[in-house]
Order: sequence, then C-alpha cells, then structure tokens
Amino acid sequence: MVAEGLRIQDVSKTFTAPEGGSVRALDGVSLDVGTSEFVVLLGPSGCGKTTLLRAIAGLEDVDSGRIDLAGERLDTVPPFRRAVNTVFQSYALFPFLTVERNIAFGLEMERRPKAEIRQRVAHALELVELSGFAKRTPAQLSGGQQQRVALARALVKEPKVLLLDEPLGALDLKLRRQMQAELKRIQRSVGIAFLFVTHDQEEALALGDRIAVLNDGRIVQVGTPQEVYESPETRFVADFIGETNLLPVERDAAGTVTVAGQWKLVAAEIVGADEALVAGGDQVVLAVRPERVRIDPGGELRGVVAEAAYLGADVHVAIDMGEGLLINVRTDAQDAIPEVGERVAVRIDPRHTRLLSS
Amino acid sequence: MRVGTRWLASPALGFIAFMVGGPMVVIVWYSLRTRGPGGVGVGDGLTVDAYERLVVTEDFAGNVGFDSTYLEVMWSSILLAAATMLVALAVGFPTAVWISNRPRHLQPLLVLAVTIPFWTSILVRTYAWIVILRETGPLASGFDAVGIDLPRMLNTRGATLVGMVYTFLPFMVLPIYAAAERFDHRIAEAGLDLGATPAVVLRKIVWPSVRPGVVAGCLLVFIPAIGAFLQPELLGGGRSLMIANLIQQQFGASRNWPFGSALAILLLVVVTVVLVVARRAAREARVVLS
Amino acid sequence: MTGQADTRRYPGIGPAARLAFAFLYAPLAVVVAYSFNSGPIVSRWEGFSLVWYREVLERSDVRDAVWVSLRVAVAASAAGTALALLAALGIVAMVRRGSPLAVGFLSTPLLVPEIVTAVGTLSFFVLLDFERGMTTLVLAHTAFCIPFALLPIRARLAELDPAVFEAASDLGASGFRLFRRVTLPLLVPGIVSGALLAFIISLDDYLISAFVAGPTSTTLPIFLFGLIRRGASPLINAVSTLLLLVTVAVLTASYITGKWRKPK
Repeated sequence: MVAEGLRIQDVSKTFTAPEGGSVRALDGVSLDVGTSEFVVLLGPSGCGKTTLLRAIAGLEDVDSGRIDLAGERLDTVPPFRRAVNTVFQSYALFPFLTVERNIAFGLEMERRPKAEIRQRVAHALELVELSGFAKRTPAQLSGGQQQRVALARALVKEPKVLLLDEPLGALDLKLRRQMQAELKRIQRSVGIAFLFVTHDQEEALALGDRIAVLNDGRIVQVGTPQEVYESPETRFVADFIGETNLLPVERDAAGTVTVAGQWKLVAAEIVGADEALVAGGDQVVLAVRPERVRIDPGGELRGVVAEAAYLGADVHVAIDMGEGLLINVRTDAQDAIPEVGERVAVRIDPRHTRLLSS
Repeated sequence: MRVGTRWLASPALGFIAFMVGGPMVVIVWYSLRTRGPGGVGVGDGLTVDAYERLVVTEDFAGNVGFDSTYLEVMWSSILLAAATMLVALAVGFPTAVWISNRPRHLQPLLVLAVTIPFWTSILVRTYAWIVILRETGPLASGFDAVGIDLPRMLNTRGATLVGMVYTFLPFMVLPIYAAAERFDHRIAEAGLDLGATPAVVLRKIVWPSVRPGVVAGCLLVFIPAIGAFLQPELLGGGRSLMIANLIQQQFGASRNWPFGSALAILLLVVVTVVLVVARRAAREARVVLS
Repeated sequence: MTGQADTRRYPGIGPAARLAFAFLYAPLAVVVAYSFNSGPIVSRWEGFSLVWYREVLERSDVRDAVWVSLRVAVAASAAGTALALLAALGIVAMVRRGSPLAVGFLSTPLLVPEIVTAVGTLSFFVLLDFERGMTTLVLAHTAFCIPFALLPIRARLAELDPAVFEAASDLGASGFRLFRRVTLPLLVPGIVSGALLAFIISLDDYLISAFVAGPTSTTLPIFLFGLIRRGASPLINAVSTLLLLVTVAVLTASYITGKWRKPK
C-alpha cells in the first residue's frame, strides 16, 4: 500500500534569514500517506508543517532526504509537473477569471480536449455544490464559496495527493465546522489522499484518519486521533492537544512512584511507563486529562477548590494541591458543583495516565 | 514567487547602463578634449583647458587670474534652487496638511488635483506665466485699470522664481501629504484635550511625524531645481543665467563642447554632493515614498 | 468630522491651501481662456472664437510636429514599458540586497539633471556617429520612460498575493504560458497605468528632445518652444490647450485603471 502512496523520507530544510541567521524548518521528517488516507499535519505556527506541504508541492526545495509518490521520485520534479495539487490558505484564485475558468485552468494546462474539460469542470462544480456560480468572478463570492472554488480547482486535476494549507483558517467558526464535515464527505467520495495542515487541534481530531504532530521541524508523534489524544508520547503532544494536567513525580528504586508528594502507586500500573522512564534520571511528569480526574471523597489526592466554573455542558474545577500545584478537573454538569475553598479529594485511574519525561 | 528569473531585469539594466552610463562616460571624455573644428563636437587633442576655464581667466595681455564668473553661475543656481525650495515649502506644507485633513473620500481627488499640473508639459506651464506676467498681460492690465503701475515682471529673477515654484510645487506637496496622511489626528486631539496649545501640538506632535515627508519634498524640489532650464530661459530673460542655460549655450551658440561638458560635470558633482550630504534624509524620503 | 475640527484649530491652513490650488490652476485657466481669443494678441481679448484651433488643424508644421511627437511617444512608451515589465519581474526574483540596487539604478534617469542627460546623450550619439532623428529620439525617451513605467508595475506586483503565481505553477503552468495566462493579466492595470504615464512624459519632453532630434524630427514641444521664443500668440495657447487636454485624458485613464486595480 505504501509504494502506492506518498513517502517522505528524512527530509530537511534550512532557511537562511537575510540578517544571516538560519532556521531549521524541517529536521529529518519522515512520513507515509496512504492512497486514500486523510492525514493531518498538526503543530504550532513555525513548526514546519507548511514548509513540508510546500516541499511536497514543489514550491520549496528540500536540502536533503527524498519524497516519492506512487513509487517514483517526486522531489526532483518541477512543481508544474507534480501529480499533487494544493489548496492555498489565501485561496489564490485568479481574480480575472470566472469560477468556471478558474477550475478549468489546470486542465487547460494539460491541454485536455474542450469537451472533457467542460464535463470535468461541471462535475467538480457539482461536487462542491457551486453549479449555479460558474459564470461569477471570485470577487462576487463569499469566503466560503471561494474556498470551494479553490478546492474544486485542485480536485479537478485528480491529483494523487491533495495538499491543503490551513484552508479553513479564514472562515468563521460555524462555517468552519460545516466545511470540515463537507471536506470529509468530499474526501470519501473522491478517494484521493488529503494532506491537511492546521494548527487547530480540534480540527485535526475531527478530520484526520491519522494525525502527524510537528514541533520544531520534527514529527513528534503519528497516530490516529484516539492515539495522539489518549496516549501522547511526549509532554509537548500531551500539552498541545487538548488540556492536560502535568503532575510532578518522584521515583524510588523499588519502582514506586509518588505523585504530587501524596499519591503512591506502582509504576507498572501506569500505561506505557517503560522501564527507562521509571528508572532513568530524567525528570518525569504524570499526564492526566481533566475529564479523567474525578472528585471522590475516597480519592488519594487532597486539596482545596480554588476555582469552579459552570460551562454549560460541563463544570471546570481547579484544585489547589499546595505548593502552587493546580489540578484541573472537568466533571459532568449534573454533578454538584463544589464551593471555592472546600476541601476535596480526587481520584485518578492509573490506566488513564501517562508517564512522560519533561 | 516563481514569476521569472532575475535575468529578466537585464535588458532594462543594460539599456539604462547604455543610455545613462554611456553619455556620462562620453561627457567626461569630451571635457578633456580640445575644441572641435568650428566648435561642433570635440577636437583630437587632450587638455584640461575646460576645467581651467571654470576658475581662471586670461586677459588680452596674457595675465592669468582667478575668475569666479562661472562658479558664481553655479552658486546662483544653487541659491535659486534653495529659494524655490523654501517658497514651495511655505506654500506646499499647509496645502498638504489641509488635504490630509479633508474627508477620506475627497483626499484622492485632491491629490489628483495636485498631480495633474505635475504631469502637464513644463513648457506649457512656463508659457502660462509668460502670458500672465507680460506687460499687456491680465495682471498688469488689471492693476493698470485701478491706477497702479506695476514694475516690469517678465524677464526678472522674480519671474524665474515664480515659474520654478509653480513647476516644482507638486513635488513638495505629495510627499508631505503622504506623511501627513499617515498621521493619526486623534493624537493631536488628545494633545489639545490635555491642554497643549495648537502651536505646541504642531511643533511637538504633528511636526515629528511629517518631518520625513518635508525632507523628501525638499530634496525632490531642490535637486531638479538646481538644473532647471526652461524657467530661467523663458521667464528670466538674459537676466538670470543659470548653470543649465550656460551648459546649453556651450553646446549651442558658444560652440564649446569641452567647456560645456566640464560645466555638466560640475553640475553633476554638485547634485551628487547634495545627494550624499542628504543621504540620511534620502533614506527617510524613501520610507515615505515607498 | 475630526479632520475639520483640526483644520479649524490651525487657522490659515484652509485659506492657504485654497490659494495654493488657485496658484496651481489659474495659469492653466489663463492659457485655455486666451486660446479662444479671436484677436491676434494673446492678452487683448477681442471676443470668442475657435479661429486658432482651425489654424492649428490647418498648419502643416503643427501637424508634422504632432505626428513626430506621437510616433516617438508611442514607440518610447511601448519599449520603456516592455523593459520595465521584464525588469519588475526580474527584480522580484532578486535576492534582497540586489533589488533596491536595481531599482535605484533604473531610476538614475530621474536623478541626473535633465540638461546633463541632454548634452551627454547628444555627445554620445555624436561619438557613436548615430544620425539624429526618430531613432535617437526614441532611444533617449525610452531611457526616461523606464522608471516612470516601472513605478505602477512594481506597485501592482507588490499588492498581488504571491500565492496566485504559486497556484498557477501548482496547476501546471510554467514558462511563457505562466507569463501569458497569469502574470500578464494580473499586471494589466499596472502595465496600462505605467504605459500611460510614460506616454505623457515622452509627449511633454522638451530639453532632451531638443538636443537629440534631427532637423526633420521636430517634436511638438520643440516646435512650441520655437513659437514661444518668437513671442506669445493665441496659436500657442490653442496648441497648449490641446496638449493639456491630452494629458488630462491620459491621466484620467491611468487613474481609472489604477482604481480598478484594487482586488477584493
């Protein structure tokens, strides 16, 4: 399957700033994308995700490593001959062409017969539900409609991989949610691999078959949305995706772990706690999601409620464990909301925690 | 942006190198030659006579002495340019500030109104002042009708100055406007609100932010004004010989191309010195004009 | 609103500015007004007449000069704009330090005093043994057309989204097809605006033309200068008025294309 798809191997890229400094935008990145897979590149701004996308499109040269598509080398091919197409963040529509001519542009460049172009453009317009807008110019369309034209213009070329560079970034939240669902539908119906760049972790979780998390030019974790959310492999991933409590941990030679100076547990109980982490000299933290922490009088950890806020669907409680340590808890809004200043105990199921080096 | 390679600039760069660089080299070369047969072109010999002539003179008895006649022409051109600059500043500054205070939608039209004279033929604009200032012109006959006898206006230094200010005023207004337009008038209002007098606000708040525009405007007026030809020629009569007219004469009636070339180099050196001295100012100017 | 409040607080600015506008336009108005004088002396009004315009149309020397000027302006502005267009694209592709140098170099025709350019170009052509005439006029004019055409083209290029060119490349356009199908249409407003400005500048030039023109290639400004030298006459006013009309028409066209260029 992989030989059919996109294979990125050990790609690096360094930018030289005009002042003389240099930035390592990509640092030995490797990633495989299957033939009809929806992969999301997620990371904070400046992490290299857009550079990686542009390297695949051919808009940026790579310094080292290689990129193959369907078993053939891609990174040496000029951008206008690559079987990948891009949906740009700014849409980058041709302002002087109608919607129809915008979409036809790529096919005209391939010198396709007129009848074929007409038929494929009509089909693409239908796919993005803009059939009635063929004769308009981009300036006469709303942001969401322009977005669809950009999508149709790239899809009509039937690329092996469609590259999307934060395509929903300029849309408001409601339209964004709607377009996310639509993108997912379109991707399933065309069966083309989508490589989607975003800095929005919720969007990544909603869209991706798999998510590749980037930081400082490196891929730090690749996995399904469940994997990266439930089983973050690094402190960065745990912190970047969703909310996480990172609790200080002390270890002893016997393999006992003490959390926040209060809760002792056996390291073996903690999922994914490899021996190196338990025994090693590195500082480690225990990561646990706020919704996995329960307020329970029989809990092992005790503290004072510092904050309690009703948020509609759930309740957010911050508990002061002393020495400046706060544990965030998310509970069901059905539960009783504790008072600020109240002494409470919390219980954490070790199966939902991760031991991470800090 | 992949719209082409930098080599696309080479035809234009080559053409400018040819059409600006070529003439400059030739002028230097010609300034070092003897006069041509009949005064047209240059002769075959090499000499520094043309440069000597800039500063010394030889009387009929053969005595060589310092002669400042030609340097004085250069100097009076610089003075005229400075006067032009100052008058243009006095007229242009309030105009630019006023435009920047107009309602937003009117500003582009007012700027266009300043721009139109700027693009119209200098010849036509200079001619207009001949019509106005001549003895039978509307100004003289208007005053005559109420019993005031105006002195002669055409073919005076004053006429040259008026024509120059008229020609170069848009160069002063546009950059000052560009700077003033970026100024946030709410800051001035806050100043007034806090008890500053309008004069203080003007000096301490408005002036620093429009200064780069003023500097740019002054340079844009001063530099071309040094080499102005048409206004002294048509409005000043023989009374105000400026450096450009002197150069023109050497290539025309006086038929002394080497000396004309030396004068051209003198003018070029003066302009370059002004530019170098004002380099810091020019940098500010570029910020405003970009 | 706030602007008006400010103006009131700086007494004198409003009247001064209005006077400045009067100063800018009154001379032009005088020229235009006297062009309709029926009498032969410019400033002695003898009644309204179009007689001088008829004379302009009938005189073959005026016609010849107009024809020379138009041919030179069309050729020089076309050549200057083409060179400026290529230069603008090349400058974009340059490394950061190179582009201001190139722009500065292409602007030298604006910095060198016109009289120096005029005598220098004359000397240059004499040295090269170029016969003075249309060719030398067009060559000299093209040089100063380049910086004027470059300005609006670069402005247009700067306001475009660079991703549009990337999108074109991504969709399979390259080389000349990229230029013809994307770059050129995107730059049209800048090109038109630049060509029009270059056209006016060429049409109005006197000094450089006077030095590089040959005996059979008298341009309109050279012809006009000759007339002015012989004294003011309503004929000059009529020619001037027509020249003004052309300038205003071309400027308006340039202004409209400039307005149209703002993409939504």
